[in-house]
Amino acid sequence: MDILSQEITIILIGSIFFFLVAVGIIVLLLIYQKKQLQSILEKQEQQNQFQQELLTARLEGQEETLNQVGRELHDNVGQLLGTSKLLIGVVRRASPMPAEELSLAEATVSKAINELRALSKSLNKDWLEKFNFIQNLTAEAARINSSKDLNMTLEHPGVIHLPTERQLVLFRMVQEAFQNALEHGQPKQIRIFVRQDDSMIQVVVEDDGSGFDVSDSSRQGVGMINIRNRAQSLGGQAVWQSTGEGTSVTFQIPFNYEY
Amino acid sequence: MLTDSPLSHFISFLLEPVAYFIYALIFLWIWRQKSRKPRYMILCGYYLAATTLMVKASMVKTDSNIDLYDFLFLLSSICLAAFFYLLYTDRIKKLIAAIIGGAEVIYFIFNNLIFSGSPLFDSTAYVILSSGVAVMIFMYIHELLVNISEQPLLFSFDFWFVSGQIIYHLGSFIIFLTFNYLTKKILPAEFYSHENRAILTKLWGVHNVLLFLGSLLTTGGVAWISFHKKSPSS
Repeated sequence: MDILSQEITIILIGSIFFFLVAVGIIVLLLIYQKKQLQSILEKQEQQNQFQQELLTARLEGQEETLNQVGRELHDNVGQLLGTSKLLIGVVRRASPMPAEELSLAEATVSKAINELRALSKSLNKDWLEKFNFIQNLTAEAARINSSKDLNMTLEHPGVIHLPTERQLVLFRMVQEAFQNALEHGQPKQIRIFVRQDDSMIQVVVEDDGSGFDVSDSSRQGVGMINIRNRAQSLGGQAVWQSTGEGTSVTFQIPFNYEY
Repeated sequence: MLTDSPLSHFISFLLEPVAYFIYALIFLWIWRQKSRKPRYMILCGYYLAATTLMVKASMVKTDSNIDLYDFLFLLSSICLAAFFYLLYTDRIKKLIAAIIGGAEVIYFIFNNLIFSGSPLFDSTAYVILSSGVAVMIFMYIHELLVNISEQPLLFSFDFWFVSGQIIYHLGSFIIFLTFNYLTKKILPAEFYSHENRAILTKLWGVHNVLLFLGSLLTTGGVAWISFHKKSPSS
């Protein structure tokens, strides 16, 4: 029966057509979803890049402020202290029998000038960039130890494999960490350990202060936020652990992070 | 073309239960993997029941298997509508799935229980079923397009199952649409011949191949998902 055969052929062609439509729908759906996912990923990447740029700009702003404070301390307060020392020296030398207090005052002002210079240098980006992370940390430890109220020890591998500008950010993180410890924990001892392997550098800042509740968000101040932001800008992380016998902050910074 | 070779016999008479059996195995495997979402449990029950019915029909020779296909229509209508109902997140889509399932059940009740059914294979019921499933599949695709997931579609079992269903239901749609017409055409004595009957049997074989392809696609998807989840590089 020819007509039946023709009809069957048409039905088969129709079935194949609908089958191909079904396959086409599946393939188009897969292609569409792949493109959408790519677009979502690109958007996320752009957002991350924007956030990173924002963070870098904010940190640069903070760095500029520290620079300015360092310069002001050095140029203004330093000048005033220098003049004071000079005047005390003039008075001391002019009097036939100078009071012992004058010599003590002159020595105290001298000490203040030295500390101010050291502090000013530790705030000055251009100065810090002349040295590496370990050298800056050693100078900072010496400055802290000169107060005699606190003992800061430093263990390090000698050289670290981090670009200069990233060493400065890491230094600021460590500086912020022990400033936090000094401000809130009243420690007697601060220990800093610097370790590195092929992929990352780890810095641990330990103190024997009063500690704090890490889980309590109300205790997490600007210092911790700054540290977190800086760690994020380096593609790393900062982790706090604290007991009643002290606090430790661990920084893990990868070497190969792309800005 | 009309020689009843073993392969042709297998395709026309045995491929359908094999395809249902493959689906049943897939859902039993999913059950074993402890992914006991209600929609998979429903389909597991559906394919086990369909396989049992098909195997029974293949083994026990009866004059007609019309009742089997009528019951299978009812089972498919309820289970596939329930699957899509549970799959959707959108309330309107859920409602539409429920309406489609309900309409098919009402058709079954009217056609088979009130009007005592037809002595012929009710391909109209399957046209309604395929149309309903196609609508539900397009609603699923719409949901996928609206809510783009971060997980690639190839990792979704639902996507693989629905792909198998779209291949079967769209591909078979024309066959269902014309099967009743062709059956009525060859039934009169002047047209009835072994050859014409064989042509219809082979056309049903094409339907079986599409059902089998759908089950193979779903199996391939399950294999792909489990391979990539176990692969350490994934």
